[in-house]
Amino acid sequence: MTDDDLDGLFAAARAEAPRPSAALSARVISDAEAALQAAPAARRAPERPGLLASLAAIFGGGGALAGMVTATLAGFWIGFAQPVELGVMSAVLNTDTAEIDMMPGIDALLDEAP
Amino acid sequence: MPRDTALAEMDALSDDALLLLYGRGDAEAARLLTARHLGRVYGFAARLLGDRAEAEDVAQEAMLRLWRAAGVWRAGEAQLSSWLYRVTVNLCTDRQRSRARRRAEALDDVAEPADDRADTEAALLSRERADALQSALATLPDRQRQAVVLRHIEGLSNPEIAAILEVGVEAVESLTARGKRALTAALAGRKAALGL
Repeated sequence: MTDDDLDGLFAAARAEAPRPSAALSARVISDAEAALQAAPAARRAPERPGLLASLAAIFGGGGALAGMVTATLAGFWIGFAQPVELGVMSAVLNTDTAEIDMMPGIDALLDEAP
Repeated sequence: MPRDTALAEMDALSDDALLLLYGRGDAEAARLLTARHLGRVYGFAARLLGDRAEAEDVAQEAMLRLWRAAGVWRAGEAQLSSWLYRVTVNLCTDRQRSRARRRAEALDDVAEPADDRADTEAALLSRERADALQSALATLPDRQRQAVVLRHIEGLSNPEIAAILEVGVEAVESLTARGKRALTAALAGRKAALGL
C-alpha cells in the first residue's frame, strides 16, 4: 500500500461523503427559529437612541439634563434682564408703593413687534 | 424586490454577514448557513464517530451552538467553518469518551451512499474503498483520526488543523504521518481486493 494508493482511498471517501438527511436539515433550521424566539430581546437589532437620550447619556442621565436645561433658562433670563442700579432700587424701596420693573427694556422690544 | 433575487443576494454574503443577519432575527440567513455548513459538519462527525445517528446528534448540537453564539459572534475573529470543526471535534471527543465500547458494527452504515445512483462497477469499487478506509480510520487513536480526516478528506491545511485541534503545526504533521502509516498497515492486506 503506497501513498498513492492511500490517496485513492481518500478520494473515494470524499466521493462517498455521508450527506445529511432532509429531516436533519429541518431539525437544524427549526432549532435556529426556536433560538430566535427564545431570545427576542438579545436578537433584536439595537435601536438607534434619540437625540434627547443621546444627550442625556453624554451628560449623565435625564436628571442631569433637566438640571442643565433649568440652568440654561436661568442664565438666559439673567442675561436678558438688564441690571438695575442699586440707587434706583433704593429709591423705589423707600416709597410707599413699590413698583419694581424686573425687565426695564422689555417695552421697547414689545413695541417693535408687528 | 422579488424573493428569488433577495435570496440570491443573501447567498452572496459572507458567513459572518449571514450570522449577523440571523442575530438580528433573519431566519432566512439560518437556512443559508445550514445549507453551507451542515453537510460538512455532519460528514466530518460521521467520519470521526462511525455512526450516522450519533453524527446527526453531534451535527445538530454543533449548529445549535452556532445559533446561540450568533449574538456574541465577532466578525473576522474566527472563520466560521473552523469554529464549527472545532466544536464538532470537541463534541465527538466527548461522545467517544463516554462510549463503553467502540461500535464497530455501525461503520458499514456510515459509508453507505446517500443517493440512489445505479450501482455501476466503478460506483461499487468506490464504495468498497470508502468502506475500507472508514474501517481502517476507526482503528486509529482519536487525535490521529481527527488530524487525518481534516487533512486528507476535508482538505484543510496544517495550520488550520492546528488551530482546530488546538495543537502546534508540528504536532499535526506528526499525527497525520503516524495516522497514514497506521492506515497503510491496516489496509496492506486489502490492496488487491480494492483494485489498487
